[in-house]
Amino acid sequence: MDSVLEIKNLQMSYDTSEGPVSALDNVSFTIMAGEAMGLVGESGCGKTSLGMCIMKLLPGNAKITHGEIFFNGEDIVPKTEDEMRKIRWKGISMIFQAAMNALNPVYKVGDQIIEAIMAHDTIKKKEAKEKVSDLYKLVGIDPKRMENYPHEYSGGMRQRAIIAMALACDPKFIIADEPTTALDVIVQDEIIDEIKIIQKKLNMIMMYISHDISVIAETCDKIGVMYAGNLIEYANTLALFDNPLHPYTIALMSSFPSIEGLKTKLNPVPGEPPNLLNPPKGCRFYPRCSYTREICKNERPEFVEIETDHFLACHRGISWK
Amino acid sequence: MEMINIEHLTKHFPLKKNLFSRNQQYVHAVDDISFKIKKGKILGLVGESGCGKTTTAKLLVRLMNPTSGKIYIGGKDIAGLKEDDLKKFRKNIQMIFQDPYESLNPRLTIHSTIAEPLIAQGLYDLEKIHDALEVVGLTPPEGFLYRYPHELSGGQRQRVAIARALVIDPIFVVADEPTSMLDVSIRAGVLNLMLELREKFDLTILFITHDLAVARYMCDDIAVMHNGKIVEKSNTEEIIRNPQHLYTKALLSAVPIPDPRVKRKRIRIRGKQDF
Repeated sequence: MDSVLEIKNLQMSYDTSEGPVSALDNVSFTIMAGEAMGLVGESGCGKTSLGMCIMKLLPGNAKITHGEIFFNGEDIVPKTEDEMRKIRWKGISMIFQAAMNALNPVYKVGDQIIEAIMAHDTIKKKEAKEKVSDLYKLVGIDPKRMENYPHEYSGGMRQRAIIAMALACDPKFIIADEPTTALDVIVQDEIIDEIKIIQKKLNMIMMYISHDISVIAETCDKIGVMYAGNLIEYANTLALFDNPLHPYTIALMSSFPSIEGLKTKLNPVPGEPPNLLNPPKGCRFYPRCSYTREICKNERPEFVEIETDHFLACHRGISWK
Repeated sequence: MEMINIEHLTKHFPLKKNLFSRNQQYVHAVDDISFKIKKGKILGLVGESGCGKTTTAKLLVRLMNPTSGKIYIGGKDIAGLKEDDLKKFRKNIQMIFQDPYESLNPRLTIHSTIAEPLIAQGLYDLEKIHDALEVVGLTPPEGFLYRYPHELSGGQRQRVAIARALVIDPIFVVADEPTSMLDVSIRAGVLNLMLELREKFDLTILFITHDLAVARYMCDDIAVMHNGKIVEKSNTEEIIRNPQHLYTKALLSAVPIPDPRVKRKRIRIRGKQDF
């Protein structure tokens, strides 16, 4: 199988008035053809920053300081804005988080999607319109609603329209950034279902960003866990649930209530995430970890393949093997 | 003993009148609901946004006036209480709000924030503020008293909000989605804290949430609300294992499960149905 997205040692920081904030550090992973990867972590851990790095839609004060992002074998980090324009939408596309704000309120929703298609493909407006109509059917909205404005849509419909827009130019890779966070349980469930079906049907690769590990468990083949800008564990969904190795992954799983199974007491992770202006020198999790040893304070753990397809950045894991 | 007894509580909001229409129309936000909570128990009120959960909360603490119905708290009907009597009674009922970033006044120190309800009731005592901070796990209290909300994290802020609610020893607390704005690793801590405090002070709590997994963890009983009505109410495990109402079934089948091996059967309902 050809790998379609490969990230190597990615490092990114934001310049702020108080100094550089190290938002991503030592992030490496591969998503293979047809796979869906889920990225979980708390707010501020760098999930969205990673998505924006791959789209190269970073704000002015952010810069990629190190590393490579290979998309279909080509490194996109050194690409110019003009070259990126050709890759965005057609190659890599993104479903944005805030469905309320991602649509322009003064244009008809259908026209906004047609505009996006015509900016990338040289096709007639009529054909573009037909395509949008097909996309609407795909995401489950009546094509007649193309003539409506965003305020006439419900929250769930807006999110569906955003998904249709992200799919408009037949992308090979789609980044879904918390696409259901602002929605109600039942609507959330419908949208997740839809995304999963579409991803398999169009055989795209997907990166699904969420803070909710139960949503990820249901949608993705692989899971990456992020903490304070580091990717700390990356494995197949089943392997990660059966055999979580990083203390943070274990803690995260036991802090989630479920409606299935026995009711067990939740174990919160003590403390707070570190300030990334001045991250801990060694492992970034050590101040909150219950297995800390001397080495964790001073040495950063390498991100290594500890079992087949199971990657881990933890000193404890290495000494086990 | 029933600490809380709600009978036929109703709240209608008038709609904007059309120039030519004769009849005033109303939105039935809360439509004839009744329930009871025993002393020391937690009742979960679950439902989707717009179903009337928060309106119910505001009616129970009398931040809104009910259109009709009775609200018995500790045997006394507070639905019709006015000004001075209401103010006196307020020390018995407290509310914890959803967003700790908005429910704390940014210009007040933690000390002033927690002192406010005490001063309003004429009970100010620094010792009480110390105790309240200690109880919610903000220790040492001296380290927090003169700080401002912006210096605290989300979890710490919500703990301050809980301390503010508990400092005047209420008998009934309404918690409106108290953890939905918090991160997972912090959320578990706040949920556990609320369970501990319930044990310690024998509190009666109405816990409002849209998250059934959280409701299962927190509540003794669950009431499911839909379009302003309570459609089902029962013991928590009973509702989770054996839901009776179609809406409850649909709601339960939509909850994602943190276990990749479990495959859910989904029940779909379309549109705004009346049940």
